[in-house]
Amino acid sequence: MSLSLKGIFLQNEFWAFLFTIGWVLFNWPMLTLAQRSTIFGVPAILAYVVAIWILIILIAYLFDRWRSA
Amino acid sequence: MVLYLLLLFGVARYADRKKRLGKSIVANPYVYALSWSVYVTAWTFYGSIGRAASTGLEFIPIYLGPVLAMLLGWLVIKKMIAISKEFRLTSVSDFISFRYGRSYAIGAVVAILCFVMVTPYVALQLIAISTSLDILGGPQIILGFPVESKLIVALLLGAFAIIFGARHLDPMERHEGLVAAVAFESLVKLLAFLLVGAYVAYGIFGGYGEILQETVRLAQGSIEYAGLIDIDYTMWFTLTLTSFFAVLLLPRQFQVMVVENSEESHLKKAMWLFPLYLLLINLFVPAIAWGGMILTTGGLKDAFMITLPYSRGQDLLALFAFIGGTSAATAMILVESVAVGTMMLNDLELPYLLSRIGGGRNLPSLLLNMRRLNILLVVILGYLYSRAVAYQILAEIGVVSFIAVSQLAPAALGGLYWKRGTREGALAGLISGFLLWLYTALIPTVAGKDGPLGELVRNGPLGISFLKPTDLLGLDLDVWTNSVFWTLLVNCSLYVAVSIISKPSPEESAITDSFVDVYEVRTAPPKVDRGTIHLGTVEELEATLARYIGPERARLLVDSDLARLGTSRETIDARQLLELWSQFEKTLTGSVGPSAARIIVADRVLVKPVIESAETTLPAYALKAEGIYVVPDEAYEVFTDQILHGVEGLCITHLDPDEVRRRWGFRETPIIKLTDETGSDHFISPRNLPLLFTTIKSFVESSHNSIVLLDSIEQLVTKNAGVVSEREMLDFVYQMELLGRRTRLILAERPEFVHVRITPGINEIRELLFALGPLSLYLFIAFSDVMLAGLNEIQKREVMDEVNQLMAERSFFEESKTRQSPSDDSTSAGCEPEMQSAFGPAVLDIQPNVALSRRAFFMAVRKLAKIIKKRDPSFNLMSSVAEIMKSYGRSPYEISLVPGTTYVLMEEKPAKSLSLFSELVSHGMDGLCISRYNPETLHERYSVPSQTVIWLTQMSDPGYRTVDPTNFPRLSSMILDFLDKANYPLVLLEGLGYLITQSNYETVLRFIQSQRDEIAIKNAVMLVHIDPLSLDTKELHRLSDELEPLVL
Repeated sequence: MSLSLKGIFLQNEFWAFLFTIGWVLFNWPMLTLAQRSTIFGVPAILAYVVAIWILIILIAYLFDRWRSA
Repeated sequence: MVLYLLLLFGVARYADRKKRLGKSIVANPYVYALSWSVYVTAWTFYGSIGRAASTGLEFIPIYLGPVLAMLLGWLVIKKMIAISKEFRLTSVSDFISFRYGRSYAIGAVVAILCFVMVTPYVALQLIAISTSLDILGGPQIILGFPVESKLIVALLLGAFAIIFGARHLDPMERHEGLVAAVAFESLVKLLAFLLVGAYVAYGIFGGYGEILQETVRLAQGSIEYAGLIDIDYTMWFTLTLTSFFAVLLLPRQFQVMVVENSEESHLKKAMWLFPLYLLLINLFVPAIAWGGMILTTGGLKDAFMITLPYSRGQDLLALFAFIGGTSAATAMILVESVAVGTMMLNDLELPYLLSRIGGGRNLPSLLLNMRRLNILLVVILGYLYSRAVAYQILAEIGVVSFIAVSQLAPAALGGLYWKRGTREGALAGLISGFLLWLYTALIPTVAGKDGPLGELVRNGPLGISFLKPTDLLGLDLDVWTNSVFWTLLVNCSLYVAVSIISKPSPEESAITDSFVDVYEVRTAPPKVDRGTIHLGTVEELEATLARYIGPERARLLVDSDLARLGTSRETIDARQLLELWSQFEKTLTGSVGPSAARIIVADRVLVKPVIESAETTLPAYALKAEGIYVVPDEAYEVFTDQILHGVEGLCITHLDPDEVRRRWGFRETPIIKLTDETGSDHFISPRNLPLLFTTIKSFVESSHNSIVLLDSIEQLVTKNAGVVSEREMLDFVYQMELLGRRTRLILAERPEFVHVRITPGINEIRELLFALGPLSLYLFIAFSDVMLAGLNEIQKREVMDEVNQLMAERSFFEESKTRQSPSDDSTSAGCEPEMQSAFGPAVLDIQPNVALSRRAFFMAVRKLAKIIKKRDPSFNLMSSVAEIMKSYGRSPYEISLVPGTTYVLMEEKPAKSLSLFSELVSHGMDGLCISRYNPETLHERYSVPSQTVIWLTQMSDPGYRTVDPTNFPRLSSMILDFLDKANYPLVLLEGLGYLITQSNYETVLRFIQSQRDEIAIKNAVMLVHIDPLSLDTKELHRLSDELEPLVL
């Protein structure tokens, strides 16, 4: 009964869910986790946002790859 | 700069030339994704640096909105592309106005909003270019004499946009040259950003880390710099939200994402390439901005991109940075001016123009010049605006524009999914949002410190402080959040509230359905392989198109559509012509926008609905608003009675129109005479069935309450026998049958032509193909052609020989029990002798005087399938006829249900069983549903007609047919009675568990056995629903043994 990750990616509901999660991660209160702190000298908030940004690119890339396949 | 523009020109020309050679360089996902980066304008190129240097990380949300939007790309953008391609919509105003019934008002409001929003935005780009030019040495870089650089840039870009954006009126509105130039510019600006960023980080400083660490040290050590790594969450959310809407709805984004999309699959790549591009272009923003600040570089912070390398003697790098910024600005101006220029023409000017001058003028050059003027107007107004306002004020214009475009979101995105959204709701939301935007965002931005506007912003209107534009009701929000909150709140609320209380017109509802359900499969009309038709209508179509897009393009377009349909002007058949005409409005929409296309199409309606009179008495004949009525003796009387009581009528007759008017006394009602005479718009050749059908259809579509009299199909059949193909006749009658669901269709037919029992009065008929003349035979010929198509010549000959043999023995077709024969003694179907010539080249030697009932038809199809299968074991009846079944609205299950059989359907709840029953009944079978459910519930949930239901209940309800579940003799007699009367009977027995509970298993089993025999004798079909969990294994097995399994 379990769906593969690829199968999940191909469902429209997954993208709606991801969009919602993206909004939450990119906004208050999640951003307060990284407020005013640094990671290896880099403002943590910058590192946090860039990390999620890259994650979204990666997910969209995998979607493109699997969908094309 | 001129050299760079020439280079762009070369790129665009190269792309256009490649396209003409059929080797498009733009139709690939990477160019498509790069073109999306037109989002990055001078405002973001320079403004991000300025913002990062002033407010720290708050430049980021401008890009987070687009990144999040990509997560919805496969849901939202894909749907926008599908809709725009389907209906040939070429701008965001087309898109929204089309959704709400091709509303001129909505199109115009959106066009005006975009125009107002884009003017300062263009000004910003021009100022950005001229400011950076000034830094690098002034206007002499352009031409060497003192001419204002902004004006030169504006004129050059205007000319460029006209050449590549408005060279012709292309119905599909794709501009490959423009897209190639924009994609090229995207690469240039990215490269410029990366080079300057790398230079600052690794050339001036000791690495990116050094800048960041220094900035963090500054921020932690001084309140002045604390904001650099701190963020305002409310503002962050506001900017993310507006940029999310902007990336979907900005005119230039809509242009590159939706209009310029050549393949849906390119979207997948753009979904990750575009966020990647945005990440890369922002990678060095903190380095450049904070680096410039640490170095205390003078001048505008926005200009650090140029001043940092320039002040350190890196002239070439500074020049390249300038080229990058110019790329960002020019790409925006080019695409935005083309997009807004097009929407101004299509949705504001043209509908007004057409309503004034009519659609008859030859308009192509006028339209093209107007579009060019619009493009120039956008650029020139931007230039004039840039002269009036300082850069510092314009720097905020980007956000103001984003808030403006957000006002389109409720109507555009709501309309994409919410069917209840109406034209009135959208208009109320748009206008209120637009006005509030003017008040809360634009006025505070452009108001100076002094003057009435400055006073208004400082103290509110008439000194009422809680109405201050920047702080409405004193919520103490920042200026942008204040604007976004109030505009979207009022906009969304009015959109929803007004939509709920208003009712869409039928036309708007129809468009809404096709818009929201754009992915639903549309059945394309199957191809016809024989017969030719009157050709005048192709030329007529081309001539109409030529009036708007020019003769040359109209010819090319018609030729390409003909090629797509696999035909030519000489060989086009009726179905293909109909499809060509159905593309007509879409083609026009692509050229002139939905509102103008609507006016043009309305102008083309040959016969416009007219109310003859509306008497206060009740009509003598009660007809439903939709239905097909055969009236042998009094068709004209019934028709006249209806049109005298407010119904808009169209009379199609073989009689003389003057005589018809005189005899039945109607004056205004249009009459079409079916004749080969010429000289009047109201003469249509009986052989030109496509024109006849489109005339009737356009009349019905333009009326809300119509009646059509056709006198008569028999004469049409007779006159067309041997002249047009049977398939064409069949298509015409079937299309008329479908039109009968939208109007009152009165057919004046002789009783001999009708094969179902009728009276001399009014007879409602559901299916014309099995009721009139030789049409059922035509249908069988069409089916047999399809079924025999896969055989080789020898097999085909053998099959035909066997079938012909059976036909000669009169044992192939089952005789229709309800058929009414005309005067002859044979199994006649009312066909005239001339009609036999229509069967001359038929593959099967079918007697033309045989009429098939629905059941006889399907039995004949199955018989033919058996004969074919003997020769070709791989033959599959279902798959071979699936397409033609769909094209004539038959249910695919009809072919698999063999008369005389009782089927069992195993499912827990009877949902599928009831849906199947409902579908088959709606397709013409006579149904009897014996159910435990209340008939009303069945009708609501499964559209099962209440009159077909016998309710198993111990209660007695006078409103319904009921039977006691223990009274099997009565139930049997009800079924028997039904089987005797029905033409093509279908019985569904649902509620078996209830019957068993009320009596016992053995009794129920005996009942089913006896019914099964009755069904076999009467050649009917029975479906028995069983819940497998309600019986034990043995009981289930015994019951299943009696019945044939049917898997849905």
